[in-house]
Amino acid sequence: MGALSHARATIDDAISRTLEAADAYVKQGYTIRDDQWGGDLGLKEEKAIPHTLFKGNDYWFCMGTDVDNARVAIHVYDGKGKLVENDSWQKGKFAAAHVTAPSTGTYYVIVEVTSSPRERTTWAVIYGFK
Amino acid sequence: MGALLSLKINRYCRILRSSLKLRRTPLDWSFFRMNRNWFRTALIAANCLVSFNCWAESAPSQIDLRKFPATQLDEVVVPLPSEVFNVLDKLGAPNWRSESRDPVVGTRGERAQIALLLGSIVAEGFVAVEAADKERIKEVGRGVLELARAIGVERTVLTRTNLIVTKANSGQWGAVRHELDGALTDVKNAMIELKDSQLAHLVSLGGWIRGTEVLTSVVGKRYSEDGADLLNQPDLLKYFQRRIADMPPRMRSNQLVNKIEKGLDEISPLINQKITPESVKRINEITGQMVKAIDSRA
Repeated sequence: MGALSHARATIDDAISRTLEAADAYVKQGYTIRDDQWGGDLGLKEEKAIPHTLFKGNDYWFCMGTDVDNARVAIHVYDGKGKLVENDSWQKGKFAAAHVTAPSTGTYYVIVEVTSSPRERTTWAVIYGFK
Repeated sequence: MGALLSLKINRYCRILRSSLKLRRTPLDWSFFRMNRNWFRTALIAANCLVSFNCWAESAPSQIDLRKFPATQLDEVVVPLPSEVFNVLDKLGAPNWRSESRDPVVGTRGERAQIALLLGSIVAEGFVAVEAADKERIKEVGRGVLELARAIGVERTVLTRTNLIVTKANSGQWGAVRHELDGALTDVKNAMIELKDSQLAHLVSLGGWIRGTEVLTSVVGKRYSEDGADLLNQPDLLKYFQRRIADMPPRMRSNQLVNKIEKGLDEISPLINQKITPESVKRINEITGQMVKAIDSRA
């Protein structure tokens, strides 16, 4: 139970850190969805989040972790596995990818922990659109 | 690559020169001239380091998605109604009032029906926002609260529904949309916490069905490939089909759920091909019948 509440607390921390990273996009007029995706990943482990994106919308996907000295990465691919993001950045505990969906369909948001002092690193993803 | 590197170095030199110009002392300039080669070497080294860092962390331009299904987090993220309406905003200004209809709020039906109604009424809220219809929005806000009460998640949406009414009164339509999205998310999360994820899926599905009925009506009246492209959601449809298939037999054999399942099966081939004006019309008919079934005897 103690371990579970600790895990929950760190995911919550990861979410609040990620929301900080997304704040810049709120100021640019993006609507941030009140929902998050998260968990924990081992080093170099990747996860795919399938997502229906709509042509005409502009999206920013932000990823963050609460683990100091960890580095994360996030990228967006289309249904054929082709990188489609217009832009992306990575700054230590935060990363983000920007995509203007070229057509409506399923896209794959790939998240990864690229380096971390811990065996498992908690992470969270949120996104905004306009 | 070499040209790019050289351009970058020249740019760095220009920036460095312009910053040095601010000081304008002979000593500074001579220091720069004397150490020009050293600066140049340092800049090349810095540039290489930066470039190496980018290469080390840049994403591959192509990946093999087949290696991912085993580690997928979710089957698919169900988009918010706002995401669809956001695109519809950009496609022109249809007569939203003609798309709007009186929200049906019935709490006598089974829980499955109430969950579908809840999703449907939230979608109705989005139509009312597009039509800037304050009275309709208030009806929707009250309806969401009533239906949420009927399935035991009233407290979760109380603040949201109050905000829906308040923001609509002051004409803050963007904020109303945000609260409608939030109400949908909160209700689903509350149901999942109550170990009622099947009902949570039905809420999403109810919203999707009514949203798709409206979308096909709007696109059908002024067909464009961009508009029809919004219906290109085969994975989302499959996701809903699988959610129904995974339901316990008792819920799946519910007459209404059964009708919804058949409707989705009919829509599936129409979405899995190029979406023509005829298929838009047919999807509109099918979703219209599904909405009627959801509303009936509620």
